[in-house]
Parts: sequence; C-alpha cells; structure tokens
Amino acid sequence: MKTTALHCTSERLNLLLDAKLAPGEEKEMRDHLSTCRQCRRAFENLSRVDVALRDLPLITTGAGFTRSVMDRILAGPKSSFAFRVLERMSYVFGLTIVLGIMIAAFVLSGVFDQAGIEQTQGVASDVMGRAADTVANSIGVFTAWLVQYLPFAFGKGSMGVAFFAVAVVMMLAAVDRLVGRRILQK
Amino acid sequence: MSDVDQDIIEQVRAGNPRRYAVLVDRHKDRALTLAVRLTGNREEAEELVQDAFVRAYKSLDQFRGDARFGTWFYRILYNLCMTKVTRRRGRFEELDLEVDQSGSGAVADDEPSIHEQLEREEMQAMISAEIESLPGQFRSVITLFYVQEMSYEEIASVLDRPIGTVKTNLFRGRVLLRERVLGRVKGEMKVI
Repeated sequence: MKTTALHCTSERLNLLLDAKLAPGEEKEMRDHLSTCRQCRRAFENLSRVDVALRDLPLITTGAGFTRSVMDRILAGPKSSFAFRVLERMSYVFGLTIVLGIMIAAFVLSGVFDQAGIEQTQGVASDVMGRAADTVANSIGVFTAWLVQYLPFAFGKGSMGVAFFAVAVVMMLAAVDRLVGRRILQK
Repeated sequence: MSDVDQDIIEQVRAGNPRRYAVLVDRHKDRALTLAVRLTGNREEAEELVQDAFVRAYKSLDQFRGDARFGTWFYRILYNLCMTKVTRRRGRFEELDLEVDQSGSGAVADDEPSIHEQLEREEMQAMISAEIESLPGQFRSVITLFYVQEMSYEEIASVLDRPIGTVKTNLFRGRVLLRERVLGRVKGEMKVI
C-alpha cells in the first residue's frame, strides 16, 4: 500500500472513498484502517465531507423561470431597429389608407357639396403652405447652425458628409442596442 | 442519455417547441446550483441559466445524442459562466488561484475528528461556504460530481479537460475542503 511514513496518502483515501481501488488493494487498505487510528480518522473525516456534499440542497430558481425561458424561445429572433420603425409606421400607413377610402366614399356619395369642399381645400392648402414654410425655415436654421458649429463635417466636401453620416449611423446603432436591451429585459 | 430527455428532444424536433419547458423544469435547479457555485452571484447565475437554455434550444439540431443532454447542456452553461467570470475579473479565475498540493500528502499525525455532533444543517452551511471559496478548478469539478452527479468522463467532456486532471482536481478539492472544514471546526472548538 502507498503510504508516506506510516500513513495512507490522501489520494489513496480518495480512491477508497470512490471505490476505485482494486479488490486486493481495498482489503489491504481497510486492514490498515482498522489498526491505524490516524488514517481511520482521516478517512472518516473525508467520508463526512463526502456525505455532506451529497446532501447539499439544490438552489431553486425563482417563480416564473421556465415561463421566462419559454417566452424568449417562442418569441423568436428580435427584429432590428429599422424593422421595428417600419413595423410601427405600417400602422400609420394603414390608418391613412382607411381614412382616404372613407373620405373618398363621402365625397363620391355627395355628402360634401362643391362649395364646402372648395372651402376646405382652401383652408387645407393654407395650413399646408404655412407648415411647409416652417419646416423649410427650420431646416435652413439647423443647416446654418451645423455649418457654423461643425465646420469639420462640412468643410471638406464629401469626406465631411461621410463622417457625419457615419456618426448618425453609430448613434442609431447605439439607440437600437439600448432599445433592444430594454425589450429583452421585459 | 436519459430516455426522458431524449423523448422530449424528439418531440421538440418534431414541431412541438412547448415541450422544451419540461426539459427546462427537469434541469433548471441543478443548472442554477452549478451557475451560482461558478459565478458566486445568484441573479447573474439565473440570467446565465436562462441564456444557456435559450442557446441550447437554438442549437438543438446540433445535439447528436452521443452523450446525455445534461452533459451537452452543462458544457454550454459552463462556458457561459466562465466567459462571465473572465469578463468580470479580466482573466480566467482558474489561472490566478493558489493550488494546494496537500492532496497527495499523507494524513497529519494530529488530525482531529470532524465533530460528530455537528448539526447537519451547520455542516451543510459550512461546506457550502467553503465550496464558494475553493479555487475555480476544484469548485467546478466538485459541483459537477456531487450536484450534477456526473461521471469523471462526463465532467471531462463538460470542462474539456483530460480525465486525469478531473480525478486529480476532485481529489485535491475534497482534501482541501476537508482541511478547511477541519480548520473551522478547530477554530470553533477553541472559541468554545
């Protein structure tokens, strides 16, 4: 039997514990344990640790764990930011088409008289014209601001524009990641 | 591999993904126990176990059935946990810990007895705490052996280590645990 001085090595005690010794070796070692108090105590201590390890309680998952996993699995792959924007816009397009059909139906059925329609057209045209002016002015002011405060983005022609475009794409990617994480956590 | 797991996997592959929930229920607590032991953080561990189940589901086509589902799944989980631990600490935990070589030595002449009257719960709490503080290579092997009840071969497959290394780490881990428990018992006896 492998021993250091007069006692068993820890490795041999472990092999005995796991029943990995050959029958002859096991008998020889058990004979030794019956006469050596130190080795017997070491083996008993090792056995107690072994029993305690086998008895350790499992750590249990929180309520709804399985459902969370299944929700993630059944939800399928997460759509991209661009796809989600288009998805949301599709509702607006759908609503616009429905409203258009309704208005056309009203007009064709004669619910609006010619004078009323012309008056409505005049007001709508006026509002649209003002809105267009406001948007054009805003774009002009914003562009002037960019040229004044971000000359590096516009001063070198196409390179500047490309730099600006990359910055915008990176910003959108960051927003996409943030939005994605939030959705994932829900 | 377990027939039950194999049956469930066949059903999922046949177009019944909701059956995967049974597989999750069967393995979730053992998986969480392993992840908590490896990461030392319950919330992080629960998130990692979820990720592992989702990843395993997506890769189910790659599961050939040569080994048990558990062995294949715990390898995914183990890799996720190690990646997390590595990112957190900036290096593999297994590389930075001192390895106690006492596992191959002889028993001490004055080895005291682990108190037989030590309450079961007290012993379990002590062991749990000591497992958490073991070097990573011992902690993972001991958890897979005792909690997941894996064989040496299965542990070697999960950890991607030779069987000899698994055996050595299991021996040394147990001896280290025994010594630490003895140390605590001695300390408590002195206090008394």
